[in-house]
Amino acid sequence: MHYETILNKTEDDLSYYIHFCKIYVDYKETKIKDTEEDLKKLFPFWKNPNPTDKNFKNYKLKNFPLEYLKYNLEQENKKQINIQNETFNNIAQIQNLKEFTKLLIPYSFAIEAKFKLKSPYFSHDDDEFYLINNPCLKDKAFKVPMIRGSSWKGVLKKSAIDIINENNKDNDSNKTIENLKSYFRIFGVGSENFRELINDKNLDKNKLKLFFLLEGISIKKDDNLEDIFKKYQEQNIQAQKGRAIFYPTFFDSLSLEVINPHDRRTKAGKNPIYYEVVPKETKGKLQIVYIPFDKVMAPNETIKEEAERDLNFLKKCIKKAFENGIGAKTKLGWGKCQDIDFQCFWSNGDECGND
Amino acid sequence: MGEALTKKIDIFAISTDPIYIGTGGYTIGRVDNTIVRDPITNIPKIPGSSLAGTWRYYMALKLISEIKDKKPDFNSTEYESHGNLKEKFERYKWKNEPEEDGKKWEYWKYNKIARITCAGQDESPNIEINETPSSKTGHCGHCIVCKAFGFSKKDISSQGMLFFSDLHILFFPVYTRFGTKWITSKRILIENGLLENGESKENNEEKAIVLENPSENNKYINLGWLNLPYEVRSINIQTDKLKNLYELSGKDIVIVPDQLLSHIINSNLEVRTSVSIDPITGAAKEGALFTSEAIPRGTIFSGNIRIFKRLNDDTLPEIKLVCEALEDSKHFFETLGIGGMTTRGFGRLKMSSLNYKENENPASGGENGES
Ligand SMILES: [Zn+2]
Repeated sequence: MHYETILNKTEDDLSYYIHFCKIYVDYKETKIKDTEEDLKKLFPFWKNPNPTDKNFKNYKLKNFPLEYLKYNLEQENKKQINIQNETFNNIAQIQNLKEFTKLLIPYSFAIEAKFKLKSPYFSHDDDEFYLINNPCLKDKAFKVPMIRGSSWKGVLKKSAIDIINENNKDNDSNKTIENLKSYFRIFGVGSENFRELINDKNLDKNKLKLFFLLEGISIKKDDNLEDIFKKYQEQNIQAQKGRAIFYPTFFDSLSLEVINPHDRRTKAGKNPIYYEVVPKETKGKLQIVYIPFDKVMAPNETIKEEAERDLNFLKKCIKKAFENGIGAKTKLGWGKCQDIDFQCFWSNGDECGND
Repeated sequence: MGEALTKKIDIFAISTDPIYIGTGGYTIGRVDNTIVRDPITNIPKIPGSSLAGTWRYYMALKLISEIKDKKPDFNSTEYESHGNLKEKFERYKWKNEPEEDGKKWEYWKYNKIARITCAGQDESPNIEINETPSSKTGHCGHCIVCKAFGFSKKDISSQGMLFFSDLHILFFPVYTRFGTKWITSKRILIENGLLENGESKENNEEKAIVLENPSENNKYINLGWLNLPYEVRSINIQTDKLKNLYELSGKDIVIVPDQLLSHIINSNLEVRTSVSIDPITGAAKEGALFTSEAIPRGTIFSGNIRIFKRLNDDTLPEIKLVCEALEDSKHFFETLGIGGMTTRGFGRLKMSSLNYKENENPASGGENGES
């Protein structure tokens, strides 16, 4: 039986590569018994029939494609697979930021931050049937590696809390209060957002109480923060949803990274673990749209002031998120981004400026 | 009911995010979030009621953001003192806005008392229609949003001028070894008028049809886990109808047998596993892993809107105005989305231009009728 669809295109065409990893794992044999000629028939992608300082005969047959791929990637400078993501970007990302923003209600804005990965990006895909143990997250129908909008939201929220804490240390109460307001406006007034704030050990509880007082919430001596927050939530019942909408990011290449974990006691290396990653130097763009829908009845000056504050705060959050990194394994330094271009427009067509 | 005008507008849409519109059903312990499906075909859909409710909010949002500074003060003592309500709508002028009825849908004269609560559930259904200007909550019962989508007050109710069909899947994206293909069936193409006349309606064989051969060496195409034999046939599918939405070309399309369509769609939905969080402690609940299914990004939908207007009723906006209001507010589906979990990256939908032509021959698109 021949697995005819792999062809010679492994290195440059994602669709073949994915199939190769996902579908063709169904081999009955445990060890490779075939001769080299037979293997070439079985795996026509194997155009260089000698990957073998390593002895391919030791591989299990079902692992052979992966071993072949790893070998090639290692040999040729972590060669990467390039993905045509043009069509896909047309579907899922905003094409003309300025014209798009003009349709929105006054004091809406849209941000497009282009960046370059300074280190590999990895986020685990739930896809169960995949030859590589740690496949990178991809869109379901297009198999394009991606960062979900919800991941951007998560990482920007973490950055926001970092920034609030830094102001805390500066002992600048006003700034902390304003930033907390921006935090709730941008990300929403859900209890999960609040929990992220109070779970952080460094956040000054008194400042949170001060914030609630200034928002018109009466506080009794014995009230705990959760109860106070509930009152705040009830007051803001129209505004549970945040004003910012985070678009997904899509990438155009994939590669493999190896992590060599060491046994803590013996210091000996264990088996290397392979991760399918978006390699460093890959470019992407983060798009965020901000719509102050919950305050549509408020005077324009109020909305304007809030939107301007929120924009500034959001810009700081983006900067910090790029530094901290996105995705998994940020502790290893993965997922760091370098800002390469920043665009921003208000709904009246004005540029938001890059201060 | 007297004589009436009706108009039908086709709509097409593409999901730019996975779309989750839940049935609301769940079982205790393990919550599995399922999506709304057509009871006959078992194919997921976007219910017309979701579309209507969401669009109502977006139209109100657009309207209020435009007119809020220009509304006359209906609660002034001058207003309370004389004239009936209809006269007041005439007499009270927009602030800083030339009074030209019909010029822009936002400045239709009965919008003068519109408010954001004209969207959503009516919080004050028990007041009379003439009292709504002095009330601050609930549907106003006069503005274009209330007239188009309907309202119900103590003394009068109206089911509105707009009727939304469900949005059905027209083309569904599946990853194959030849890249992403959009599957559909002959039944769906015929129902949407996309199949050229003369093509046989029958497709009972267990075979897929492709319009261009993706590979000389293959006779099979895999649609998820299903491996189907295919044949190449030159069929003209009128994808130009989708032109202002997404350029789908013949080589992207795979026609599958009707009896397999539901199976293929349902086994290629986006499935996401999440953890239930205890709202008090913030900890993950034990055994609270649950899965949600959603219609994937890149799915193309079709449906229609019927607009209905009683003749000689000048308390109703013209059909043209309602169309413009729909057109100007539909872009919010691209940002604020539809359905559940929109804060978690679900629900964005891009809608085609509504293609409304005022003087269109009623036979081609609109139709005259009585009701
Ligand atoms: Zn109204």
